[in-house]
Amino acid sequence: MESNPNIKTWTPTTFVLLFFIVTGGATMLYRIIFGLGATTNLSDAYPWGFWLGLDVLGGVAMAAGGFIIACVVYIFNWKKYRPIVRPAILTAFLGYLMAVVAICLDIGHPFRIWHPMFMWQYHSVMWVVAMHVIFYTTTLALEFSPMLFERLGWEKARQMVGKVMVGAVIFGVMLSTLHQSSLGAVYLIAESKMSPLWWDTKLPFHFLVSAVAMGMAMVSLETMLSKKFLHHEVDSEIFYGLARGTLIVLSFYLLLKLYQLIMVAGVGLAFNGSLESNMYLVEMLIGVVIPVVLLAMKNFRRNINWIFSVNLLVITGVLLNRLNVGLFSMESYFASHGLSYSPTWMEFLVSLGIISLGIFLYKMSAKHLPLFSH
Amino acid sequence: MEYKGPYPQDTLFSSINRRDFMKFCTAVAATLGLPMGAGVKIAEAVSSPERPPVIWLSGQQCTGCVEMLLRTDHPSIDSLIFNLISLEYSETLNAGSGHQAEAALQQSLERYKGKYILVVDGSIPVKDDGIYCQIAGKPVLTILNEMAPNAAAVIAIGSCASWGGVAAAEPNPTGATPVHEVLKPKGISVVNIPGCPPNPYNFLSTVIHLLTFGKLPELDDKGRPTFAYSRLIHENCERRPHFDAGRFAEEFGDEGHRKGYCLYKLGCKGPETFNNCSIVHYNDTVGCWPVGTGSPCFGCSEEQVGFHVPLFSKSRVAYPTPPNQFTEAVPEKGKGAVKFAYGVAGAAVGAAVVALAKRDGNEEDKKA
Repeated sequence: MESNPNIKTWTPTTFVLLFFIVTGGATMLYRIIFGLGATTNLSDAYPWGFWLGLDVLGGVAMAAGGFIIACVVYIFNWKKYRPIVRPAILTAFLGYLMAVVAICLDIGHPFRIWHPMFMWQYHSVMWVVAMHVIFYTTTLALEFSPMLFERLGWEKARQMVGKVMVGAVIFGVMLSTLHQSSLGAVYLIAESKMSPLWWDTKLPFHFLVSAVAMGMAMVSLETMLSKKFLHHEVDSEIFYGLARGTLIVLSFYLLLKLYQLIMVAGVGLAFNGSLESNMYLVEMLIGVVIPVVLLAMKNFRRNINWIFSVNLLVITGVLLNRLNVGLFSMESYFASHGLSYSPTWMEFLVSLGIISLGIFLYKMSAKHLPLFSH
Repeated sequence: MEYKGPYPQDTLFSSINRRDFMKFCTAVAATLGLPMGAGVKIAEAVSSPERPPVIWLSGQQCTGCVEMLLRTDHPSIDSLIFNLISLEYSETLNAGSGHQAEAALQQSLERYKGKYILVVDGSIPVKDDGIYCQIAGKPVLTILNEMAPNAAAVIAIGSCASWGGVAAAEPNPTGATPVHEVLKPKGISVVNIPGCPPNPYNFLSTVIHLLTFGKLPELDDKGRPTFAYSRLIHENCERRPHFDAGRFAEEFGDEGHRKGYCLYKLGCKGPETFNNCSIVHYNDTVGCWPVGTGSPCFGCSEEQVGFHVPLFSKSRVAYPTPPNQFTEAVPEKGKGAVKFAYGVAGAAVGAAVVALAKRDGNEEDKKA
């Protein structure tokens, strides 16, 4: 097949993306040569900062759409969502690749990233997370490969992948649920540092459920954007269905968080005016309460413009949740120890570069791969 | 030895029971850092009918050092001066007065020549031949110079006698001089028990050591008994953990002060003052010492500190020792990630507002 003639490569957006990719790439190089201390404001007290919160936790949560759509299409055989399964898988694949880049930069010795594969420390949640990332990225590569094989015309390879596709999807779903929740489980160790507004033994479930909600919002949003900018025509029913799914999952998430607030943290904690309480309120309002209220009304749920707004809200809210869990929920602990953290401009540049790379690769895939063929 | 007090001897002994007496002796042994067995020796020494004669001479003083002795419970002042020592002369406690008292003094000086313990409180004015402090028309400087050569031991009690004290503070109009400097030319060594007032047990333990073992306890190069003055107050201070953790009272009556934090920033001189105040509290009352009541130590017992260094200026930490670990200090010291957090929150709210504001526009208006 040929490249998609509807998509132009050299647009102003592309130049902006390339600019960020180049500056971000240069900063990454600087980080690899001169180290974390020269590049970031991270310290022994703040080993996990902006990169971990946004690029890894946020990026992985964004990628949750991949396993959800793959599951409903390949396992439940809900044909309605077939048009968006490839974009969803591509998003997940790119999301994980971006998370891997961020992890590589964030660990002290980037060239020891392979260590968990051979030096097993199976008592560590970190090891579990590392293995999940490795396995699931591999699985996503497999799920993604048919697009590449079609483009290259490798019919035999494509058929072979097609035979194991359902198995790979089942494996991927399993890994994803484990991985989304184990990212939350990483924070179980920080009981003494985190505010009980977030910390609970059920934190892994919170991560999983919010990732599912965000994954659907993300797939819905990117499909809308593809429709607008990359001329990918899809049926509006897909958006309505995703909005309904988001409502169901988000309502369940709201119940979980309310239980957490009332039974674990205590309601007063959310209104005591501290940084944690304010961040909690902002996160819950933007990411959960307003979207649930809007989606609960059928007029809004079946209006593409409103769904677009709600998708943005949910994504913002869950990203904020990941930053809260990773950074701001520990504010009083760090403040009481006289510690401070604020990302350097280089940390921002790297994150911007990674995100730009993701968008750029998505666009190039849309142009050169059979992404929207259905 | 002939008993000269107002009561018969056996009535006096019945005023203190054996158990309390042994407790006192053991406590003295503990203060001195002696083995428990020494308590028996002490008991034998202090219960012997040969009570040591003590002559108490006062210079420029405030009577605080005598008052300090009056306030002890083990022993109480009556059993002290009637049972343990034979107080031959003290301007505060003399039964007689005037010529009668002076006559008794002369008598004692002759009778106990070379045997009496001379205790001096107050500084000795030397300016203008010592005319600024006189007893019975005689400068105390002259009296001291007469009495000291015939004493078994000279004990300077209180900061005035030890270092000059408040009377020697600038501009020192009377030429107030410590006892050991007055007696230096005569080659007489002096035991210094500094403090304003000193803890009575530091004095009593020194006296009883002398009685029991026939010699003075070990002294440092400033003539202070090492059992009491070898450690800085700071080293054993009950508020030391606060110092190590960085919790300080910043001003009188603030929250840290009320919570009992370290008083270093209020001018506590504990880090440069050698004394055992933080271990042996005053008047047999637990917590009864300056720092224990929330008042910074002013270094009364340290030469060139008390009465010389301004009350609220920070002391020099003489021997800083790092703590084993830093305990969690007062909250709200650092800034955490608060600016970043509110930046992110602002961005999130902005994104939400943009998302909601866009709802009315048609699809053409939407941007990534």
